[in-house]
Amino acid sequence: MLTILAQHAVDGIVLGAILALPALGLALIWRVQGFPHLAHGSLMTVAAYLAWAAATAWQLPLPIAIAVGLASAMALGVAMHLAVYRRLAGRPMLSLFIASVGLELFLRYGVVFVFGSDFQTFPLPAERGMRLGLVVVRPLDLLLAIVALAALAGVWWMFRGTQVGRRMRAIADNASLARVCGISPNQVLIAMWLLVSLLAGASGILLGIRDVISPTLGWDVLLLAFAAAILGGITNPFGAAIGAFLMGLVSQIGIIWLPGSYEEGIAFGLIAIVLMLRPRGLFGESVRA
Amino acid sequence: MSAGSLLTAESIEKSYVGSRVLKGVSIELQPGRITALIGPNGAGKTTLFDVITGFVRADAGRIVYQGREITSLAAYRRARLGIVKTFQIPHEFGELTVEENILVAAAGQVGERFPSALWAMGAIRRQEAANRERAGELMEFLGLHANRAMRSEMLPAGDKKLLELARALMADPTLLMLDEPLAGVPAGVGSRIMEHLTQLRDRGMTLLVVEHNLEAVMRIADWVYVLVDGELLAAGSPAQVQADERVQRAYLGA
Amino acid sequence: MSYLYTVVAFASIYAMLAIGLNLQMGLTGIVNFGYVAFVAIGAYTSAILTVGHGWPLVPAWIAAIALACAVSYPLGLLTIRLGGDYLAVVTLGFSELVALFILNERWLTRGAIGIVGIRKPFAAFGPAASTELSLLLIIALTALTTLLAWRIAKSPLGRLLRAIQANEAAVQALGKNTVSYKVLIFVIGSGIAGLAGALYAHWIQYISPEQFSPDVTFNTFIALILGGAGSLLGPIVGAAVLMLFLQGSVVLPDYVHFLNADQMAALRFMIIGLVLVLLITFRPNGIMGRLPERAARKDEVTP
Repeated sequence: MLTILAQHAVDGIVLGAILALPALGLALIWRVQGFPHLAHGSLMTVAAYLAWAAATAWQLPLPIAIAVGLASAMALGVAMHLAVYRRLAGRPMLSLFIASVGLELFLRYGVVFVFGSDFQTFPLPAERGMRLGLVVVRPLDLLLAIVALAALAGVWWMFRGTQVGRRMRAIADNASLARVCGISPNQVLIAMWLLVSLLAGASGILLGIRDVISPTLGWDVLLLAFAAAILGGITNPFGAAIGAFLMGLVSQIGIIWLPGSYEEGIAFGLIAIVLMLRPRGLFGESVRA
Repeated sequence: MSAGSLLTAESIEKSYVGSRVLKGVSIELQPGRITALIGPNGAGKTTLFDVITGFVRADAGRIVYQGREITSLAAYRRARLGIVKTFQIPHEFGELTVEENILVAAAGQVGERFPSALWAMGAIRRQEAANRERAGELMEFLGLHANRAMRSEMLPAGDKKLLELARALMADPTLLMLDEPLAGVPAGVGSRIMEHLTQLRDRGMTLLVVEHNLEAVMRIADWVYVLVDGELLAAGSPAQVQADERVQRAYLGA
Repeated sequence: MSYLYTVVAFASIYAMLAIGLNLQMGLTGIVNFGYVAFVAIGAYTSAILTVGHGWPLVPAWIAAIALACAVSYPLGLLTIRLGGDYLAVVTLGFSELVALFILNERWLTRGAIGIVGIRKPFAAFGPAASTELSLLLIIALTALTTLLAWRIAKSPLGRLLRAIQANEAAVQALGKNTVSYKVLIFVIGSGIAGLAGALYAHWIQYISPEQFSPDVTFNTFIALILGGAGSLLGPIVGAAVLMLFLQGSVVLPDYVHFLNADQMAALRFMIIGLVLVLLITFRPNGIMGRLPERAARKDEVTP
């Protein structure tokens, strides 16, 4: 029993690590620009496909291919911001949200248009799990978890230790005040989009390596990532990351007793319960009555 | 606190992100009187308003209204009990006309209930007619009648404040709480408002007024509270408060 | 000819959906991104009751509406209290949950296989007449729904809902329980979706889980934005235009040869996405109405 529990817990942590990256990005966008970014999944999917294309069609070595994928996600994210979201600054949240819905449709089906709807896999050798005490872990999963945690640590450091990170926090807390203090939102916003796109792209590539690449790669996890962000309190990006780990753990442990196909259902059930008790999420700031 | 008071707020504490906005404030509102709440910007007056009306939960303290504790009662329920407030920055229903704004405030509308909204044509018509008449009187008095059919978001700022007042009055308050009713309002209309407030008081309404126009408010107030930096600095009749040295130093003099 | 019938039937059903969503979003400002969940509930309830248990049509449709309303009530209570920002995502999550349920609970819904053999209304009159009569029924019910929406919008209830959308706190300050009104309209809109779902199931006579993806919600949003939310005829116009595009673009592959079928299908949605972005950027009012403008909560400075 303990073995099963431990195994599922480890799976949960790996899932959580992968979800934490987009969850953090979603929370950051939500906090700084004020809307749920429904096109976030596309950043993940595009990165995965371009990395795959670079590795297979252009025969580039894997690290370079991954870099290509990441770069393309970053370029796409900034392009979305400059071409669309920036134009809608100051409009109600609904407008930005709907714009992101449109972009999501455009990009998701754009991927189908260019790459077709078949599943693809990265050209990596199949591997066997290694035994670590009670649990079996695929080296890949271990690597993924480490990369994800390293990325989170990097973001943490960036927010505390660098100027651009501090400015991002200032704008997130109070945009008009920040403007008065001379912080130009434009540059900071572009930096933010580069960051969230990088995180999303990394997550997409990791998912693509771990499972398969499909046009709905990003969309399928988007809801879970949103759920994680909401769980952690939408005003707190790191709460979102913690929410992701929590969700990963709960859903993977939950399926020990409940039907496996309800993985998502368990995650949403958790969120519903938490939100009923604490409408601001686990770490969000209090909502005015 | 004396037995006859309409509403008491006892030892209200409220902090936001580390700064204490209200530091144990206690006030008492006697029925049928106009109480003024004055103080410099940032003193916590609007927060106190929000705590009393239920839009903000205090960290500590109690609110007692008509002898019953309402500290955890929802805002809309307090309004139903007769505690009606206006907002400092006008919260008009932009898309609705001036008249519609006021009509929304009428209580007990058959036409707002479902499914009676669909078929109780006769009853709805009658209520609407009665409400329109009342609304018309309010608009006449406050000079909004000319713009009754205008979308309220297009009103000039001063008229929006008048609309706030009209709407609050339409809701038939027992305790009317006005947050800077004179801000942005032209002088002539302002003095008429002050006069109307005294009439309301004479007819039995209780009022709590936050206002920066000290001259105007001191003339009609029966009792004054001075709030500075989250604490009550002084309380008394307008004459007493104006003569108080601490008040002069902290507020009036500066 | 029957192709034309299907286009009109679909346009009518989408118009009904758009009207229901308009009550929620256009009138009251509730952003419900899980709308398709209630379409699915309505469709499956009616299908299961008629095919699996031999229920007659009208009771089955009433059950479909009732179940959609019953499910939407607790969801509404939970999510509407959360407020606008969360609402969109949580409702979207709910619709995914419903889709999961339909897929997994095979004993009830036949899972991915779907339910076949759903009969058209007026089946006793023979296939041709039944098609025409069913179409008339769908149009009639859509008209009825429009009438319902019109009555609500014109009534003091409609005025109150518009006020809630404009400034909920101010309505509370006047003594009205805004949450209960929002939940009410949420339930009504969901009931309409349930009816539309039931009509849909009995028109195409075969339903399966993938027909009820979030794309349906998105299409409804597009119809609403296209025609203009908040107006009466807007949803109908928008639904008609949308259907024209969706059905019209199906025949396009006959004329375009350098793209394969997958790509043509993908292109349709790419265009829809693009149109959505362009619409919301340059013509948020749509062809006929106004998009609800809620005051931006960010940066609202309170002294």
